[in-house]
Amino acid sequence: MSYVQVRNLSKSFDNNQIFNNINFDIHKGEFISLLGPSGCGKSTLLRSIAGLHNVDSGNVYVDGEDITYKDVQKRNIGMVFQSYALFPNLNVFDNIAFGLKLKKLSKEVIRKKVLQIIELVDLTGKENYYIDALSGGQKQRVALARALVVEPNILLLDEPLSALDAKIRKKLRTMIRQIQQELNLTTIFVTHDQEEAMIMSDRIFLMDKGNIVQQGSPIDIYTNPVNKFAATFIGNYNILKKKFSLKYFNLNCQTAIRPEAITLAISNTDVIDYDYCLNGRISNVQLLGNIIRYNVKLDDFSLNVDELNDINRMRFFKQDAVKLYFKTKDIQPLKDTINEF
Amino acid sequence: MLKNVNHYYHKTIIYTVLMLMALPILATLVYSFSTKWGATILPDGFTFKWYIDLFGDFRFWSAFLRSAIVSVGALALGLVLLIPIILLACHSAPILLKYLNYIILIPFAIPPVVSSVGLLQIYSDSALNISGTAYILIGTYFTIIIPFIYRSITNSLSAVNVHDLVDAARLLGSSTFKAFILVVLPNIKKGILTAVFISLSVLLGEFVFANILVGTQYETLQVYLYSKRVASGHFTSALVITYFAFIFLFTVIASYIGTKNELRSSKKSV
Ligand SMILES: Nc1ncnc2c1ncn2[C@@H]1O[C@H](COP(=O)(O)OP(=O)(O)OP(=O)(O)O)[C@@H](O)[C@H]1O
Ligand SMILES: [Mg+2]
Repeated sequence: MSYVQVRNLSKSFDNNQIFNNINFDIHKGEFISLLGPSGCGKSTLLRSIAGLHNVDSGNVYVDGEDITYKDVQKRNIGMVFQSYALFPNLNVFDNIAFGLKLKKLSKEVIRKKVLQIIELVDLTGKENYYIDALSGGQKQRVALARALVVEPNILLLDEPLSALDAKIRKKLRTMIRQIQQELNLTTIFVTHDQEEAMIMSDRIFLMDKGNIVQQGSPIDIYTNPVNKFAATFIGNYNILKKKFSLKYFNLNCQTAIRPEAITLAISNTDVIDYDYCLNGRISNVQLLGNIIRYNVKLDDFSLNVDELNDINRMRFFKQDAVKLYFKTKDIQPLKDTINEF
Repeated sequence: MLKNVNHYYHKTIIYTVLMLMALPILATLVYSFSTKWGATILPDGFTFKWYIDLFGDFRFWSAFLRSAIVSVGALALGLVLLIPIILLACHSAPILLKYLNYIILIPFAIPPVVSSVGLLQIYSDSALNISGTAYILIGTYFTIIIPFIYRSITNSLSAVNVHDLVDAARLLGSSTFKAFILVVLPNIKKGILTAVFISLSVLLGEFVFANILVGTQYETLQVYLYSKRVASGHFTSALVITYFAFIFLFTVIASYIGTKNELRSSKKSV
């Protein structure tokens, strides 16, 4: 049986339905990313699980126990906020010790546990610093330590990295993932950054307008988007209208094609096997570091094609006439509705 | 270079204005120490006589004590009632703060002479007859300081994410009430202290309400000062200077507490 089970969970604020009939399962020790655009209800869902919001209906089970109406204080759920929510009147040590003191543990035990966790998040030596004197990355590590030290059953992270600069983000996400695996901690990580979700997660729950539209492993979500939202939110998919999908690929629905799944060539000698071939003309060339993105104009529509920026490879220029090669397995049919997965 | 010139220019203006403002106080100070100061630029001689007279007057000390009692009473009432209201509004119904913002302006909008008549009316009709007592003054003073308390506390609250702090504390096992005590109150300490010192300064100098509502039945510092207006000008100067000294002391204490907090938090990491 799954460790966390969410069943038909619904929540509204004054007649404004935020999410309706949410269902999912999470295994013990799994790292789940809740990925979705701003305002889709990620934070509300997370806070509902934590007990900070009362839900309208549905249930949350942890380890078989129904915790839907359990007091926040007794849930033993750790949470890290985007705003850090550290206590400015306390120093690093006392911030982290806060939960342990409320549990009335002995001074020595508290000291031992706090110092241990401070070492885990690499903040040794900063015990006596006040929060204002820390950098953003250090603050978020204190917040993480404060949530971890009470040994929670579940760890909830609400966009913990979004206020940090790119370099610190990369470092911290590795750290979070490492610690999570070390402690085998069931974790839900909220983000609207698809790269972050891809790198860190065991599974991704893709959320749109209060619905989980797709759940699966990062590779699964990336290669098989179920609908237009998933295809546009993940990667840089080309989306083809139904009539063109039918005309060119014989599929009676919208389709999505990854830019790197299309092969370009001047003549068909370069390409060994393909299922479809179309003609086009390069209308724009963008250099994105290790990738070159060609915008190719076809008769009815245009497509983005990504190629590795490799000096041994044939380069194309604006106005070049090219052939585009497709394989059937790369042409992903999309569902019209976004309400189910 | 330009920056320096600007710097001196600004400084000159600031010090000139400060001097101009300090002049009456300085004059009062000198006057309170002088034997006689009439047609000459400098006083004829210096003496402590006026201070000795003042501090030797039993009426002064009791007036001072009365002022302190009503001010502290009103302040305590204000803090105990307003802090929970503001915190609860801030945490559970922030929209209420918008209305409170308007309501707290009322004491400013109505002149004391007008509102004191209304207050007298209310209190003399009511079952508990407290007109003419210290209690009516505490009640009235409470209404005067509401805006000061409200403003200082909401100002310091705006730097604190009350909602997230309380939620974080609750997730760590604290009750909502305990969370307010442990993680919100300490962070608005500065606002509370500011409220305390502003309120005390305002109330110690309050005359209109004290005179109309209770007058000589409960002689406060300002009423005492007023009754002494016919006595020697040197004596009243000594009284005013003593009063200023107190206010000054409060201000220094308040700003000392402020800077101490800042020093603590500016210990930057390396
Ligand atoms: N306390 C509240 N009262 C009323 N409406 C709310 C409340 N909290 C959130 N909402 C609404 O719920 C919707 C979802 O908000 P939520 O904060 O869950 O989004 P999110 O996915 O976390 O977005 P972001 O990525 O910007 O944090 C929004 O339309 C928001 O206006
Ligand atoms: Mg959010």
